[in-house]
Amino acid sequence: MNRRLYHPLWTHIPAALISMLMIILAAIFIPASNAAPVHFGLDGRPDRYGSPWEVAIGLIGLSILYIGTSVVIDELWARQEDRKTFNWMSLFDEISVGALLGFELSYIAMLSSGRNLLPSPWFFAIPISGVAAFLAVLIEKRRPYQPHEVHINVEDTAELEEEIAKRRELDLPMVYWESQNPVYNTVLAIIVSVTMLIGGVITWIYLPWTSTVMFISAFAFLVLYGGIRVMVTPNRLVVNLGILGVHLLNLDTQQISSVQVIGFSPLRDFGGYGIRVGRGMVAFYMRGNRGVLVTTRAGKKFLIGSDHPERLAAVLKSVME
Amino acid sequence: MFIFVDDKNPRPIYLQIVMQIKEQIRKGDLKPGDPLPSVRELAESLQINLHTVHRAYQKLRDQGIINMRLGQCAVVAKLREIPASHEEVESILENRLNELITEAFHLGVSKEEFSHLVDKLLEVQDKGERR
Repeated sequence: MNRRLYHPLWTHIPAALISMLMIILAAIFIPASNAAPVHFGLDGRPDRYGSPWEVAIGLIGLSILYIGTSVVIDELWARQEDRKTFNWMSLFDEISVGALLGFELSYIAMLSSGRNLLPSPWFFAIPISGVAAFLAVLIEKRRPYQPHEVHINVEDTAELEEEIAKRRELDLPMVYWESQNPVYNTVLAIIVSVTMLIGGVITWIYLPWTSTVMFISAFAFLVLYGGIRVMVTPNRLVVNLGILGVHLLNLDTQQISSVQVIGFSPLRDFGGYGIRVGRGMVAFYMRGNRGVLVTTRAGKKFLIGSDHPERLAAVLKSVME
Repeated sequence: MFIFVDDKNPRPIYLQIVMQIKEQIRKGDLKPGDPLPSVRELAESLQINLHTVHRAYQKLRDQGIINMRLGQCAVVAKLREIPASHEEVESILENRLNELITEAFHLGVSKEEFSHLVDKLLEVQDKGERR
């Protein structure tokens, strides 16, 4: 793993400054009290009271989390670049942290006025986020592209092809299997689903709808456990997801008209990882930037991310014949 | 991972699976930590009984080739760092080699031919590993 950073950290300075401003404002204006509104309904009226520092720490904590997430995303984007491209995801931290500052200002305004009615946070959030986003655009345009070597390990599949041809001649049952289940997926599947489950149980009495959403989210994340698995038999190409083995793709191999090994940029081309739709195709991948583009006779395109795309393509070609 | 089963092969299907997984680990196609398909997935894909795949995985687990934990998929275990003891080698390899020598005798293969065949196969594998 290359430890050098390809996305300069100074691009996050505006978001970091906004976050620091949030800390300073909290230190000056948030009182040490235990009887301030800390949670509001959609009408802006409080539905729970407590220490206002609960709100301040929550907002500042979120801003730090967003900046951290943005550092990781921007670095991933830079590592997937083969030329300078505009990273629209780099606006994420400025917009989100700007909105959080707007929320904090709105909360401080409410505390200062002595009224228990939260003024619309968007009044502050939209202009601040807008200015921050504009700054972020200027910075992103000035961000230098740092060229780096991308090492692609193209596998020799001659031996595998020969072996498959032998088995195909004898019409023997066979299966090619591979999976993508990175550590982050397992962590997400376990930690997020357990957290959502506990949160759902705790909030069940007070906020049943929120709780229901949490239970559904817990289930959705738990389903990811096990990652994406690809299976090719002489008759079928199957892509399964997670612990339940949900079929993302189940194609008759005779429906495949072509297969091609391609490279792609997960963030630039599809905006992330997982199950993605874009560029006229449906893509399934959890890591890496190479895969096999499968085109069906009906003209549908599916991109299957793979750690061994040459092998997967060789097997698919053999079963198509 | 590429697996096939051959009904005409006198070796039981579960042993065919065991040997193919072992061979792919030797060739480097499967590396320590690589996950294996679930018992159900492999059985369905190969159209064989669940118990056959389960038996193959159990055999591989007992030999320390794969790790299996409840609720988790089977993964390729770390390769053995310390070579097997003389007793282990004797009990596993010598017995099998004896069987092969006997088989060769009944097929009319001379000692020289047998030895030449072993050398040739070792050479092929050496080349494959170097590649």
